[in-house]
Amino acid sequence: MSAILSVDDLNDFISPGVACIKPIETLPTAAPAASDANPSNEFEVILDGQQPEAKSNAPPAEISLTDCLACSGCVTSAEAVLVSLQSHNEVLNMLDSAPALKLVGPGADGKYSVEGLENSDGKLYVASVSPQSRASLAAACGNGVTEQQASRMIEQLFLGEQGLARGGKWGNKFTWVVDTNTARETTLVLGSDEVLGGSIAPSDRAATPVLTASCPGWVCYAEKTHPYVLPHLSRVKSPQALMGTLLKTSLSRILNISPDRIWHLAVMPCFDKKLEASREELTDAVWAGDGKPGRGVRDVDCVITSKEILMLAASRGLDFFGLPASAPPQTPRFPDPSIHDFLFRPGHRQQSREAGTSGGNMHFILRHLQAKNPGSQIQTVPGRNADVVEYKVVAKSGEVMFKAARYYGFRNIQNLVRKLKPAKASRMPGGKPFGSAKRPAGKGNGLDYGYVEVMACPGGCTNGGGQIKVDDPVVVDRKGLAVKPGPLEQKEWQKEVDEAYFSGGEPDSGAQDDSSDPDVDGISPSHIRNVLTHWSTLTGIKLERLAYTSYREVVSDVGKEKKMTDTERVVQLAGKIGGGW
Amino acid sequence: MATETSTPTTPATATTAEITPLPPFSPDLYQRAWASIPHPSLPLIATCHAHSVTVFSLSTLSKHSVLTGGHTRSVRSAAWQPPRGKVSKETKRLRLVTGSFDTTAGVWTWDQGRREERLEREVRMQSGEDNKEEEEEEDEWELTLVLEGHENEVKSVNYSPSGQYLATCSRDKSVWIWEDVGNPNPSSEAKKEEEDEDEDEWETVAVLQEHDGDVKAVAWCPDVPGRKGKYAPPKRYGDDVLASASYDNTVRLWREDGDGEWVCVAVLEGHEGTVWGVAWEGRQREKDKFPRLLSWGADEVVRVWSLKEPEEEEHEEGAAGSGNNPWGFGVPNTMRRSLKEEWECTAVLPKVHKGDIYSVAWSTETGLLASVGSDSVLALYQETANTTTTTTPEKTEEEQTNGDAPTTTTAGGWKVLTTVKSAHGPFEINHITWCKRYDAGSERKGEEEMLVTTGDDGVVRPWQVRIQ
Repeated sequence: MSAILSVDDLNDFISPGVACIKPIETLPTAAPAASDANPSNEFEVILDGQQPEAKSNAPPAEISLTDCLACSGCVTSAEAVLVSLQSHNEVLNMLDSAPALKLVGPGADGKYSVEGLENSDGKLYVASVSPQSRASLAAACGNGVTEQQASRMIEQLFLGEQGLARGGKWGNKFTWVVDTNTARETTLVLGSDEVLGGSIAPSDRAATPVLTASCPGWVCYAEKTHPYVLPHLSRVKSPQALMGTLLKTSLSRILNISPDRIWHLAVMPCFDKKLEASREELTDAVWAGDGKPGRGVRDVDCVITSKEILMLAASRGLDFFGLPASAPPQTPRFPDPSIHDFLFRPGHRQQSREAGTSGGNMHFILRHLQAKNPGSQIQTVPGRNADVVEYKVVAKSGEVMFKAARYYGFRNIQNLVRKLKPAKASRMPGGKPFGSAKRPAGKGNGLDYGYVEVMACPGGCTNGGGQIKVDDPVVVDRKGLAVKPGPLEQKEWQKEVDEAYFSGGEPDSGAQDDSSDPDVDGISPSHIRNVLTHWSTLTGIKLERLAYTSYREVVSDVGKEKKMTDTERVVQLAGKIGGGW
Repeated sequence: MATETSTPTTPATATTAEITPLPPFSPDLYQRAWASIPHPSLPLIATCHAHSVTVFSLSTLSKHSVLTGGHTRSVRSAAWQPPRGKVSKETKRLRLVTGSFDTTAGVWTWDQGRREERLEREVRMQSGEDNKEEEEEEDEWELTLVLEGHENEVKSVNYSPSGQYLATCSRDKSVWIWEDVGNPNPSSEAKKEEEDEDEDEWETVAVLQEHDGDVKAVAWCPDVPGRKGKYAPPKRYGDDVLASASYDNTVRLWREDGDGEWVCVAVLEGHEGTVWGVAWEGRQREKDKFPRLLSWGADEVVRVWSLKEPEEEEHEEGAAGSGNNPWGFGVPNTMRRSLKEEWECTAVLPKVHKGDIYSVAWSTETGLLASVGSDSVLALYQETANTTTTTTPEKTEEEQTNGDAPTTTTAGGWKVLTTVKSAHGPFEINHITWCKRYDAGSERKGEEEMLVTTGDDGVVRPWQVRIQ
């Protein structure tokens, strides 16, 4: 489970009816009963493709996930919204909305065209799948099923005749399934250049220490609770977001169609990725409009989790585990040869264990630096628990060139943000300044890191909130467990998922570039830079707008005391929740 | 294990008890007071009320000092830092942690040495210009650090016996464990300069989110011999055990698993309402058995919980440990055994209160229990001989509900010695504690125990307890 947002929080004390400003603006005067046991029933969320189910009394108030992101009123209540907003049901609803667009070509002129545009609801369906989701599904399959086999099963689901196409109104299927690892490799190079000052670093680089910003739970928490860390957040988009931008920009420009005719689904290990997909920073308003965040066409239309893949299959009457692991049917070529080669490169890079389960941002930076400094070494210093590790790159001379750290999990994040927090003036007259910061005397500021890889989940992304857990009926059933598994069993299960994650394929001999920048950890930075340049030229959009994003402090009045006194507040709360003091 | 006698120091047979009020601490606070926490070794008691804490002297029964200006909402609870390392006779430094509805916990330091220094300096400055008049009395206590992280009201704070850990809990349903990683030994005979420079530094070591509701109270198991005795669970975890009580009607027990992970080792279910509090047995048990735990709450019931003692075969046969567990992951049996600790409710106290029970205090000297609650009743209980573990809780509950409440004075091996009605007039009593007497009226200063109750009327009242 995500340490910050989890489905278990749905029955939060502060139900949305109490905490959310939005329903108050739009709801009819008869407010829903705050004691309602199920907060998710208190309002409806409408999204394209989603059929509002008939609910009893109050007419629906429209709250988008974007509204929730703009409000710090309730971290947990936003969850209620997002779960209903982006779900496997929405995928099915979208597939059933109209016949899918069809890619035709290349014609004699080498150009591609699109059929079916006359129906304004027709879309071109593209899915991108994260390696952690493949690992989770592989582990759920059991019997030594590898990540690649799970990958083919997922492709069969999205592309095959035995998959989603078997049912539904139009028998629609997806046009492509891509691997977010390709976008991941791009973000690794971008991230490394950002920290080490490479050739494609953004114009305004993040402050040191640079903090990973691909974990949406962490970003959301930082924006709402610790705005002072925002200047430290890496400006590089997450793999999910970058893949979204790549698909939407290139397809819409090449095929000359509106980006809303492309429907992009992402399969992620994490519920919070749904939050990320709803960010105004990740829409066509940024790359096609004035460059400012806004409510445009989203780069990622819908995110479902690993577990929701099973639900998606079941909703179509399919048994995911019964899908063949054979090679999926041929898909059309991507209408740009360079991007095609980039997205559909045969074989894929081995995930190295040292890189961890969250994509390996920090590991790549360390390796990149090491590659630039022959003879240097990477040293590891274990921290106080498994989710805190410190790393050093030590030059041949013995000099420490670079320090970095891994901070996973909410409790460890607390210690990180506390160290980054500026000291406050004392509340006491004449007192010393206090703050969560250490005193300047003594050991000095412990944060001489150049980079910190921050992830909200203990154990990283393979342990994401959207992964299939050991106590899931599917796993209990397939493993034939008779008793409810506990924490230790979850630990063992996690090992199996990690094992599947690292089982990834044959080491990639890769397309070697004859360049001065040698390969780093199986990735050729110069090749990645070439692809990025090509993409920017192809779309006519500056790389700055394509590859980087921004963050903003989220402020709201919700929860702040207005005219209500403490007593009134408590009486109100006590009455509603029955908890009292 | 069937028939155990209670510890030798308890009067084996029933006695009579008399509780008489002593004059309340002065001055009256005239506002709702939440709790009064006695210092573990000094004659001081800290009372939380409104946005402040008033420290009273147990010798004079009057105000010693005030902690104010650090919190923007009510201070609900407080905890004294336990003495760490070698305590010098002349303890010049006090440390109190406050838990407030403003979502923070404050770390406060009272430094006698520094205060004297400042006085000297001020005397020197007196000759020249003096613009420091206002600092006089108020800055005895200094708020040195604010622990931030909880999303909602902090309900309770508690120090582990060694002072290494602090637990906080909140309406945000979480329990946080903080480790004091600053100067590890502030009261040792460090050089004065070093003492002045010591750092307040805390790290968050755990954020425990398994409760489904507001967490009302946290309490660490005291460092009694039984904590590590032969009846203690196998050495898988660290010695520290934390109990948390919640609006979700459960009590949870937490331990550190050796890898820096804090895990829930037991969920105690039985209460039919909010569990308002938990208290550990602080008195050594015979054979050094593991300390028992009390819990109480909105269901007007006080429960006694005991760690289930391992049976002999289980030591031999690993598989028996966690029952029928056909887990297929190839985990060695020894790993699987007693991951969870088995706790059982071994007694339910006779029912006295008509309304929420807010606080129960367990004497480390006599083993007597005292409870208070919303009905303003103060009740005193004694464990009776020979019945420690023989009665099943289900049965006693039945007995209680069937019989007339007032006549049922013995249940589950405990009996009511006496009750005081309207102990704070019509007001709710929020807290009760045992503490040593140091006032002039005591014949055995520093040894005699008394009770102190804290109520909505802002009165902090000591009670003399006489047992015959």
